[in-house]
Amino acid sequence: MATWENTNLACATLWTTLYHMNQLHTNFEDSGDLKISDLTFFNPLSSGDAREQEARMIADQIDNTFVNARGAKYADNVTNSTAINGMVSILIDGDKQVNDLASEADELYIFWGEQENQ
Amino acid sequence: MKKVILFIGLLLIAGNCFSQYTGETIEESIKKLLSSGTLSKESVEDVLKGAIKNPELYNDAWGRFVNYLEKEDVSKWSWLNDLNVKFKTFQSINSSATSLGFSYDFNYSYSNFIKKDKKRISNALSLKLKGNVAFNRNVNPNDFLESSLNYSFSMFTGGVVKQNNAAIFTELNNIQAKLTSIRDMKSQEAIDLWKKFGENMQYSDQYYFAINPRLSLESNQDFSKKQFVYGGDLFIGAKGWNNKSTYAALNIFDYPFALVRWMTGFDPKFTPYGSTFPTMQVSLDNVNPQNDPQRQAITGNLDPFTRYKLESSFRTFVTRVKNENVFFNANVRYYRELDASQAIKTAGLDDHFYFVMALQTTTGFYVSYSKGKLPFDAINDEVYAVGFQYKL
Repeated sequence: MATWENTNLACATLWTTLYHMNQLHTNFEDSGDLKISDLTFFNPLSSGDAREQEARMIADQIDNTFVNARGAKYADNVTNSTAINGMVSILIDGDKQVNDLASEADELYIFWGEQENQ
Repeated sequence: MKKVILFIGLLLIAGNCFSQYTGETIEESIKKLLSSGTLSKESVEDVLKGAIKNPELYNDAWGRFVNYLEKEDVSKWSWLNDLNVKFKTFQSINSSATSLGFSYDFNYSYSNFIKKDKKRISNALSLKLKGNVAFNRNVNPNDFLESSLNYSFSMFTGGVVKQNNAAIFTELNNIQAKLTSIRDMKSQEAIDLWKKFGENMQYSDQYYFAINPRLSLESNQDFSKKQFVYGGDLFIGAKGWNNKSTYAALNIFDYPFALVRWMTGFDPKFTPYGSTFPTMQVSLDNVNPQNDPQRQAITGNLDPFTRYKLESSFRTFVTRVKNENVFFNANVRYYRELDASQAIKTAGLDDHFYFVMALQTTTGFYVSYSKGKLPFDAINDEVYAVGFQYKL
């Protein structure tokens, strides 16, 4: 699991993205330990299928934001499909944490400002 | 002489295999035979018979065959990595009869993604084959094969205004660095920074459409008994990520909660969220009822039937009280069986309506209300409440 620090661009970019999407409502420091089930999209009353489709919309929007609005690039051997599927696998698990999603994002993307993306 | 050559060949191929009958490896059996000083035709045949019935011999040969093919042309035979074949000895439940056979498990998936200016399209196909085959099917206690084919088409449009300006990317990172070090998100500094952030990164409406047909065949190994199971889902979603979007204005379900957010000071003004616009799912399923005593009592059987389902969900953020986030959740489902028998209709089992809503906090406090009921096979989806539950 990545260390939840604001110097880690995966953590910081994920947090601003989720906050801006109204998915979380806490400051950066308190957000790493938040469970996925505490994000706004995660409806515990939905069927599993419906919740997975919601997770796909969120994953697509996160990917869309990273790549098209924040200058991130895919890491080596990562495609849009692997990025979306990687994030969906975490977003459908309510017990996972935002920090887990940041770890996944850290492996999938090279964020703007990281040495490899200058 | 031929048998002696085969005997030596078996020694080389399956030196580490276990004999299922003696518990010895073939190598150990051969050594024992050679050291016994009684190397007769019958004794060689006995060892060979044991080796030929040993599934590990075939597992070893299969492994070598796959390795050979992959060395020849790895790109052509890479799909073999998705195929797991294991030879085994089957034993009848009713007798001591045994038979050699194999189990197989094949999972193949393919996905293709196309990114265009305004839309993103994904195609995914998966094929799953699984089963047990005995060379003498009468002694196969696991006489079940399952083959399924799933396809998924999904299309996304919109979501964010594309940016291609390095200075803006850097500026967003700088704002982000300041925001992540602020504890109070209601402070004027945070509000100003979020405003500046929003000016540099603009959201648009996002649309999602997905269709997922699925088909599977369940059978015994000679296909004398088989059952097709089919179904599919259609999913439609729209999100107005910008709080000034049309979807935010149309999201009347969020109006009461926008009012609460405003009155509790969480939002500085009345702001319905377009990002919580309800989603819709339509499903068609071939249901294979199991352990459904009510249905069995009415129809006298548990034959499969076809049913469609409509489902819609809504969840929004209500407010934050100390360290607790409060959410409102709602889900409504309608199930209807196609061509239901008169007995099922009379018993009122041909359709089901279920509505549930709940207020929920981060630590799990729950106040829920539900009306209607789910069909028997979907009962596990029913909400389990902690705290207070009201059910009509």
